[in-house]
Amino acid sequence: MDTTSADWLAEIFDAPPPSPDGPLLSLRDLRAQFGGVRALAGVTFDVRAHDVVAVVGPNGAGKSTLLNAVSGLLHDNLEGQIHFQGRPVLGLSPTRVAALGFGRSFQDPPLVDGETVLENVLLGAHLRLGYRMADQLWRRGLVKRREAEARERALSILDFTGLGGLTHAKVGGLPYGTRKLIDIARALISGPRVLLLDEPTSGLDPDEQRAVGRLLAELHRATPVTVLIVEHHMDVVRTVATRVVGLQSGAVLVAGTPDEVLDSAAFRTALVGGHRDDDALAAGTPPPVEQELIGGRRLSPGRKGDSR
Amino acid sequence: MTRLIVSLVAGMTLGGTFALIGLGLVLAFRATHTFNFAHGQLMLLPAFIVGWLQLDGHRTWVALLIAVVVSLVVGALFYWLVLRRTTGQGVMMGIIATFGLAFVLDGVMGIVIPANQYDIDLPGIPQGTVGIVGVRVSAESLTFAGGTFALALVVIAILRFTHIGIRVRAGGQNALLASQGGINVRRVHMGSWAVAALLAAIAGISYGSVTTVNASLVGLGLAAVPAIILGGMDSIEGAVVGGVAIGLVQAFTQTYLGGQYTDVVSYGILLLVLLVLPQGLFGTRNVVRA
Amino acid sequence: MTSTSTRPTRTTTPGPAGALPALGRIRPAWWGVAVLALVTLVVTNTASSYNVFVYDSILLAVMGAVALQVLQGTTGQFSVGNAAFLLIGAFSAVFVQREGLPFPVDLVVATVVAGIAGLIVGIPALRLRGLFLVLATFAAHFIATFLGNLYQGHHPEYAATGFFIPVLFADHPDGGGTAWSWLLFAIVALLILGATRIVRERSGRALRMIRQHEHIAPTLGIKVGRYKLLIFTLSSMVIGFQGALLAHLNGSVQVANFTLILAFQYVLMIVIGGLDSIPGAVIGAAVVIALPIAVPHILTGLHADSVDPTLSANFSLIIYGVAVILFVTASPDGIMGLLRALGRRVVRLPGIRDAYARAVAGTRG
Repeated sequence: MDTTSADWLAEIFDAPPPSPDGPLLSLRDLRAQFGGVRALAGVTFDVRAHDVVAVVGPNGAGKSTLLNAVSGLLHDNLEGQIHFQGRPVLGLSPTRVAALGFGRSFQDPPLVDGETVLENVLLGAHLRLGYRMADQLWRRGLVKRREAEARERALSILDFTGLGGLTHAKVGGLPYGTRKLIDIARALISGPRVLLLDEPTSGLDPDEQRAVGRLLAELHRATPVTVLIVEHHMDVVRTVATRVVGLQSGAVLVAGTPDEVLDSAAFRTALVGGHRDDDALAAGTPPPVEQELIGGRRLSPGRKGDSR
Repeated sequence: MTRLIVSLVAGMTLGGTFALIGLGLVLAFRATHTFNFAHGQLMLLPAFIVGWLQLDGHRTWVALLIAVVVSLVVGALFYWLVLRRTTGQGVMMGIIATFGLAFVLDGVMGIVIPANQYDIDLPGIPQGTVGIVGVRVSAESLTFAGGTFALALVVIAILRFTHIGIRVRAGGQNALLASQGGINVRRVHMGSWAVAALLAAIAGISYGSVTTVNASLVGLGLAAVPAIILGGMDSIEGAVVGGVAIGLVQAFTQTYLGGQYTDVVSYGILLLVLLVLPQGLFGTRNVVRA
Repeated sequence: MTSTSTRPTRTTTPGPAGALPALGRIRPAWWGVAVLALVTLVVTNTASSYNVFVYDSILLAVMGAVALQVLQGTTGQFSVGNAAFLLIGAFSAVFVQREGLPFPVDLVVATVVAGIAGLIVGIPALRLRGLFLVLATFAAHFIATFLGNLYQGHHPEYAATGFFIPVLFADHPDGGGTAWSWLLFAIVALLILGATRIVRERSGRALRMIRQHEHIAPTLGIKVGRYKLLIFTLSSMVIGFQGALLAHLNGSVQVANFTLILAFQYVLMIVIGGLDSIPGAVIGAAVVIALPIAVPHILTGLHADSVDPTLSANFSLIIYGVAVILFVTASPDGIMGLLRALGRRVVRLPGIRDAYARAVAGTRG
């Protein structure tokens, strides 16, 4: 994989407009309920511009649900607040959220089988290409121009992610790790302001994991993109994350820098066995406060008391 | 009053038939998540066989036996050869496979069965009329109304209370869990399809006996679709409730509005249910997501 | 890691310029149209008037097959509504003709009416998927049939036999076959080119994403509802247009001709030809329409005596059914899938492989 240089990537990625001081993305008391299951039980944290925030926690902690909530995929079941650049975005349709500059990758890459890798990556350029179906009929010049531009970008990103040799291969028979990379490439091509990655390294062997880690590190170095990444592999987290949020049973357990969180006692306890909290939640009472005030600092500005 | 009673009896006859058809469709659906568009043909084929063999001079029980065996074989074979291979490819392909079955059966019937119309004469069925509240009603219709309905209830009882029945229901509900519980899911599914074909055969033969056996039986089979959607596509009890409901609706529409309205009313109900309550009265949410 | 500002070098290199790459840049659709023109030329000049009629029927069916292909094969909206929209188009044409309006006007009206009907069906259908969508179009079929019967019943003198409208081009010396063939060729050519253009690039990708991952598509900015409605309406308009033309080709329109089996046949066409393939739709239409014609010849070839027409009709049904089942279980990409697999085998042969690789390198960037 060639991640020696990606300064050219910055051309693709929009710089977010300077926002008044305040986080780029802020989540307040996010709650989500499916049937009898409380998937999110009051998640609160901030993401500053150009952060790489890793969301970690045991299975069932609500991590993917969190990303789905931000993406706008949870229509009815969501309560609380999500603010992007100060504007409320909870309840917006996923299309509007995408238009605001959110890119997304998924745990099980939803690729279009039967199409090539290139075509799948170009799907990420849907909004940027912008022309209409009718244009494909009689404004061929416009379409060809925009397609050529998008193609250039796609090919560069394919090289950046190491998929260059598979450009015209059909996505169908490719291994899982490759499919995850294609999903990531697709999210990158739109030059998003916020990248939401759902377990990009799950199912990959250690070499592949390191490669993704390097990719993300380079992305962080070369572009202003803000990343919210759900991750299980702690070495990847240590490599790329600027901050870590630990979720358990749908609520924030700990937050802070990677070293603070990953080495904290609360986090290790949670990973090993968090039964007490699960029982508490099932009984409908909020879990006892298990947050550490790391190094005496509050977890994020403006949070209410520690009753959650 | 006459019209009311006549409609009721006709409705119950239809309802019983729809209940049987519906049970078959639901069993098939629970097995393979495929909707069987060839169900009308699965009704017509055995009915044709009985009518033809009877006309040819064979004894009734022989004709019935042959028809039943043919149905079971067609149902089981179709699952084994075709549906077993399409389960990975999505709902659409399974349904399209049933289109293929419909065409094949139509063609085979056209070639093998000499005539277009037959009558079936089942011995032991009371003839003549019976008086209900002063209205003369065909005894045969009453018998079949009662008979099909009773049979439907028997099938439900079997599914609920016997070992085999429980396996069928489990296999249809969650194949993965069932197979881990030691149930040979494929055999169960094949059995489901065979039984579905059998129920269609019974429905076709009995309805054909009350009226007549011709291509309109296929339309009848299709007319059961609103019934099972109303009841819930994966609900066994729903099939009976929906069947009776649509049977009555059709009969009353026929009497009070005229025959040309029966289809549009039934399918109008289908559309309404699809839009407002897709899982039907008794179906589960899983149906909708599939 | 060294840091530069230049993009990484491309891993694929451009190939030599020349005649072969230039030919390769002509889109396959145009080749298809050229072949079709050639076939039309041959048929209109050499075939019997009956066979020309068969050819015209094939061209007509291609319209419905292509419409269904884009709707179902590409966008994944499973529909058995073809017969219903054909009926709507045909009856609209009849209605307009009976009002005294001349030929092209009824085509326009039929298309518009069918489009409106498509919208009426499409809007509530937006929230239905898979099986439920099929059932909704299934219900729509019966409702359309009912309306047709209502209209036909209104005119008791035609209730039994259906309506008659003048057959187009009937006054031509050859009975109109040549004129029909070229008219239909022009229409089908435009349709093929148009359809090919919309199922690729941005729209095509969006449609395919809708087909395979409809709930994820919005996160890419794809407006799913709009695309579905657009495709539904467009395909209904094409099928309605086909219905009006059908009325003019046959001269007679009656509800009994628009059966559910007819709708199933269009599904057969796209499955046999190959899903999500415009040439597949054309091939499928040709196979399904021509089969009942070809079967008697095959049968008489096997047995000396002449064959009862209903026997061959039934044989065709069996062949359709078996073909569909075979394609669904063994080769889900239909005839086009088989051809492509064959093509890949051929390309692997040594001499061809190098030439092909050179040609491919020259046309790709």
